[in-house]
Amino acid sequence: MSKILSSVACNLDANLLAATLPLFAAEEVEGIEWSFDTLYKTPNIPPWFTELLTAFSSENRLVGHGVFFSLFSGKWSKEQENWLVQLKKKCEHFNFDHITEHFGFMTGENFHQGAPISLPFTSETLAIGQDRLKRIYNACERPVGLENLAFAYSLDEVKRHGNFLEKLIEPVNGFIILDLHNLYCHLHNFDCRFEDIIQLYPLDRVREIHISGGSWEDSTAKTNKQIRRDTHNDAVPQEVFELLKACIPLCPNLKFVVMEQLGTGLKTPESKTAFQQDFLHMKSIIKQNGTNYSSQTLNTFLPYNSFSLSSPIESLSLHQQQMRLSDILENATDYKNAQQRLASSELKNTAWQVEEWDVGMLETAVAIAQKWKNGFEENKKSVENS
Amino acid sequence: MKLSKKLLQAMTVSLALGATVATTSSCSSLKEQAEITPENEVRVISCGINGEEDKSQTVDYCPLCGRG
Repeated sequence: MSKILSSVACNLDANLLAATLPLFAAEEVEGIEWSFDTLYKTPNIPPWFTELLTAFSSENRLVGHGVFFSLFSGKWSKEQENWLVQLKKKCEHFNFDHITEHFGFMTGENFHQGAPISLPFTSETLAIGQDRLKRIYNACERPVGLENLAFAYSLDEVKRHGNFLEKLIEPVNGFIILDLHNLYCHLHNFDCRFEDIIQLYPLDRVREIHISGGSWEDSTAKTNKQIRRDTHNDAVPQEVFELLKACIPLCPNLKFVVMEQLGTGLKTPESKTAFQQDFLHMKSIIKQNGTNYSSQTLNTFLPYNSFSLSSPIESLSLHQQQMRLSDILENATDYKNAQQRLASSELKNTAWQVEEWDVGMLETAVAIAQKWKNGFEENKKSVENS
Repeated sequence: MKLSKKLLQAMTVSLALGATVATTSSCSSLKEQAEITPENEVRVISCGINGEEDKSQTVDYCPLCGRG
């Protein structure tokens, strides 16, 4: 029997839970991933949802996936301090098998309500990321991991992403979530081959894999080129299932494979049925490709040493650059306007290498930042009203 | 993984009503579409989705207030 748990990203969303309910009833779901920081504005969580989390928690089949910490914000914020306090409390109630966050920093005025955007891979950002991961570990005292980002400014960044992730998690002996739809976005958007990119990731550090669907967006910046975006609003493409087949044998420490989809894409009976079929397809792939796994744990992904942390590492110059970039992306009229504003900002001729950014991806960054400008709840309302 | 029948029932009823936010004191969002019997059973009158199909069912656990 495979030790890899077929799991679903399960949040308090009526459409998502309604789509998942038949899978729960048929005892098909082996683990759940909960974005524990998305309910901070929900005063009364239904008892049955807490009971659902508790049921998986008691079997070591619950993992926590943070969204709003903003790991690389240059300036330490009160929101991050509160996020850690809330995480510590959540870990007193639930036995998370591990805790993860996203790579990048959040756009938005306070960096906690936008979308994750990439940043330069420098010794400065490395130090900030390592500092934040240590703080997350100290709050949760469980294995800590980071997810690869769907968005990249350039092919060079795509090639260096895996190595930078490995350096980031080294002090906490952490792990990575390999999001295969994010990888699929890279392969399409930068016309690169799976075989060339996957070898640049530390695959022995993969403890969790994500699969999901996304969307195509026409690019005005690049003729005859559509951009693939990780919008989580559609069924899983066959290409992503193929990536799953290829990756499972390459990841000896894999424990959870999680299917993600937003409830906004699960309104119709047809979409719910497709969701269930995708899950069962994922499970069959895991069963076929994950049977040779040893039941012995190869890596606990727990730190070798404890951390005594002083004041959070900060970089006010990075903070200023992030503020300026967020402002440009959120308010540019189009990608050309964004290009002009970047070229006359303090970001020019810096480690951000804005001169090298792919124009199609800059256009995408503008779209992402403006989509999430007013936060998750406002975006959800606009999608539901459309 | 196997979940309890009680939990699955609670999820079924609550999600049929489209309710994912608990009302802690009086089950106000459930009242219009369900009645709670003296035996603490919740009888769902309508699923509330399209109003045409009768999806009445009886469960032994209130998904919103936890009685049962």
